[in-house]
Amino acid sequence: MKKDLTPAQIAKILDTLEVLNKIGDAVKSKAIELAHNGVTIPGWEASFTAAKRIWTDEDKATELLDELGLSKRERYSIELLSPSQAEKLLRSKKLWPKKARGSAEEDFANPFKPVLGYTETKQSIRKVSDT
Amino acid sequence: MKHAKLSPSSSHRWLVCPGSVEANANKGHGSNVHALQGTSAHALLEVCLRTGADPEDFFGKVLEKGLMEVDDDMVQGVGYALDYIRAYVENNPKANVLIEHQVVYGPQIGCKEDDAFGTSDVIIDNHPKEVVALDYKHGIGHAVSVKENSQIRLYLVGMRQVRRYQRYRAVVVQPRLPRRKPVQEAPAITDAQLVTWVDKVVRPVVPIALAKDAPRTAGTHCRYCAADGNCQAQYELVMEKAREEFKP
Repeated sequence: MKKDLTPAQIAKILDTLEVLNKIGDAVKSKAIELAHNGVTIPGWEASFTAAKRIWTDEDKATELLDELGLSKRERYSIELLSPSQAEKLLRSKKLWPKKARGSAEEDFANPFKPVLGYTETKQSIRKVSDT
Repeated sequence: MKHAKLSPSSSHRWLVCPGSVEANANKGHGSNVHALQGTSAHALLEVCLRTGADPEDFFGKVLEKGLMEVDDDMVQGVGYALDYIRAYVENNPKANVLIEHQVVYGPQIGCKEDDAFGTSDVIIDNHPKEVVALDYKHGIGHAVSVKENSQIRLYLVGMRQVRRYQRYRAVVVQPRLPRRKPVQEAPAITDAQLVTWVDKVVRPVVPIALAKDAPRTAGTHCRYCAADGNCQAQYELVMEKAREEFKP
C-alpha cells in the first residue's frame, strides 16, 4: 500500500492548516480573554507566561554584583548594533543616504555593503502569490 | 466617521460572509501602529496631490496632530503613487484627479444609498474614455491583489452611478512588499463587464447581507472581522476540516 502523501495531498493539508491556524490564533485570543474574566472553558485554565527575572534597581544590582566579586567589565556587556538596528538609527537621525525613487534596488549604493553578510537561511516554503 | 454597512473596504468579507455585516455593525476599527502608519502615509499622498508638492518636502514632518512623522518608507511609497498619477495626467491633460472622493453605489447594487458608499483614495476621471480608481496600501502584512478587487470595483461602480465610461480600471499601489512591483494594474474592463460583475457577484448577496441573522461563512476573510475567534461558522469549519483531513 502506498503510504507517502502526494504533492496534491500536501498542498491540501497546507491550505487547510493555513485557515485553521488563523482561526486557532483568534480563538486562543478570545479564550485567554474569557478565562481571565472567570469563564470556565472545559479542560483549560487561565495561566500566565513565564516571567523573566529583571533588576528592580540597576544601581543597587551593580553594587551587589561588585560585592559578589564581578568586575565592571564582567558586569556589563557592550554589543555592536545589528545591521537592521544600525540602519533604523541612521534613518531616524537622517544620516542614511536617500535612494532615488524609481531606481532599481541594485543601483542603490548601500553603505553597509563592504561589511554586510547574512546568517544562514533555513529551507522554507511560502504560498504562491496570486498577485 | 460613519461607515456604510456594505462598505467597499469590507466587501472582500461581506461578499463571502453576508452575516459579517451584522457582526461588524457599530464596531470601530482597532487602532495600532500599522494603522497609524497607513493613515499618515495616506495623509501625505493627499497633501501632495492637493498642493503639487513632492513627498520629500514633508520628510520628518507631522502632517496632522496624532499622525506619525513622515518617514523614508512613506516618502518612497507615496512617491510611487504620485509618479503614476502625475504621469497619467501628463498623458491625459483633460483627466480630472479626485482626491478622497466619496462615491455612493447603493442604487447600482440594489440597496439604499446610506448602506453602500465609500471614499476612494484617488479617482482619475477621464470621461468618456475611462475612469481609474487607485487604492494605496501602505501595509506589508497582507498582499492585496488588484485582480477582481471588489473594493476598487465598488468605487468604479460608484463612479458609474453618476455617468458611464467606456473602460473601468483598477490600480493598487502597495509599495513596501518585497518581490512585487509597487504599482499593480488590473486589465481594464468594459461597462458591460462591470455590470455583469455587479449582477452576478454583488446583487444576489445584498439582500441577504442586510437581513437579520444572515448566514456566516468562515475562511481567510475572517481577519479583521469583529467576530473572529468567536464565531459559529469558524467552529463548523474547523470541525469539518478536522474530520475531512485528519480522519483515521
